[in-house]
Amino acid sequence: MSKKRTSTRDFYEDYRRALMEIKPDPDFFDRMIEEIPKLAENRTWEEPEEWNESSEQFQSDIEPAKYKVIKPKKWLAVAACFVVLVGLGVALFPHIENFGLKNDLVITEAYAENNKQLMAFNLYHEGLGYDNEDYTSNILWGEKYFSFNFLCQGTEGDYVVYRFESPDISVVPEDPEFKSFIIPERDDRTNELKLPVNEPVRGMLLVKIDPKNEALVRSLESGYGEGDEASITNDALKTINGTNLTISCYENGEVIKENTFIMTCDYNYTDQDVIHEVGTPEPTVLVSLERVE
Amino acid sequence: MRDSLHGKEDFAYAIDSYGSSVYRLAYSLLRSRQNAEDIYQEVFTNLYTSSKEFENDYHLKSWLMKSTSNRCKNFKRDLARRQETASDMQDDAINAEAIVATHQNAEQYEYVWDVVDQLSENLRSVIYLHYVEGYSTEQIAEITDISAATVRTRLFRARSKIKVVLEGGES
Repeated sequence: MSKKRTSTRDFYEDYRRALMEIKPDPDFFDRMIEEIPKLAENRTWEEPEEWNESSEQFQSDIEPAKYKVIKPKKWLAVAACFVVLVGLGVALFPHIENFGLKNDLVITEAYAENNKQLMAFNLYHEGLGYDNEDYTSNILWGEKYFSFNFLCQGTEGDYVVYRFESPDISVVPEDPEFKSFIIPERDDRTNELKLPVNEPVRGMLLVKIDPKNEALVRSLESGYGEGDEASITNDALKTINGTNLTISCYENGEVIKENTFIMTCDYNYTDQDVIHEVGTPEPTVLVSLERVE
Repeated sequence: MRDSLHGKEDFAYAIDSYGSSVYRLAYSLLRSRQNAEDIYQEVFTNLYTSSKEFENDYHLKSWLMKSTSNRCKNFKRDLARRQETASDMQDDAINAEAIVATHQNAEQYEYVWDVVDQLSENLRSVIYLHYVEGYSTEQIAEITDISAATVRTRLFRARSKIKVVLEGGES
């Protein structure tokens, strides 16, 4: 590398400037305005089928069709459907609630994206923990451990403390560059994560990987998910399985509510619903936290 | 921007307004002027033949960014599939160096490309969309068809890797 900067801020500015200097020939854009319509009219070939694999959206992007104007009637129809669906949702809500979301039980869902150990999980809990469908999280590979990004929000007391009772799991604040989120306060000594109440907080949960598993460590260090992804996922899940998570609500320095959950998880590779980018089935991981009485 | 593209006037408007962004994104991902021009041509040819409805400028630009990103992805995949990766990538790298050398202030920014070249395409994409185009994580999620959380993860990973490379560590 010919020049090194210690400031990443300088780097991003230089990156932007460097890209601004990337320009085609001066007449390229004008030439394209003239040439592309001719190319389009003369195009007789069809794009190969495999070009459509990236995503459903992309498939729709390349479908030829006619220009249309969005008509108000269509929106009215959409609005009417929405109202009906909301009505059905309200009517069925008690049944939905019984489908796993009950008091003191947190259900999470996770998936590994593109076989790269990216997981997302949604948590819902009243009073403690997470409470929004947008609070998804990811797991990614890192140096010798996976990290779950998570967003959570306590709703009772002054603040909420998350404590993972395993030496192989630790919690850290997320990248402080995400200034739109409050950075949780971490206690290194007790491995606790302290979160203000009623503020969405982003943090990271690190799960150590068995260093004796050489193939697994090598795969992690490659940084691109190469190697035995299933083994990596298994290892991370093995660490998570059986770990206790205690969530405590504090008010005026005292615990007003505290629950301990045991974390269990399972996954399968057959869920066709979770398909990203390469169009291959990816493991769906289900993590559940059951209250320990 | 009109409600939808109608004819050459709107097409020229789209090129004038967002041609540079499409070109830069393609170049950032492929690191080759020739390939960037090819992708550019494909994207706008597709735009011209498509009857996609655009609600506003933001929608149009997002569509162009998504189309560019997907085509670059397919381009690389196709390249790998044809088993030409090794020789072509070498050629592209040489080509890219030559192009950078022709830019004004090329030397000043050479280190930038050294760093960028160490990022995977997924990471390059989010870095470009966030730091150059100024998209939020939620907007990038829409463009790239991944969750906002995944975008944040990729940004985190990209930043971490950039930091390590800038500090002279192993990437």
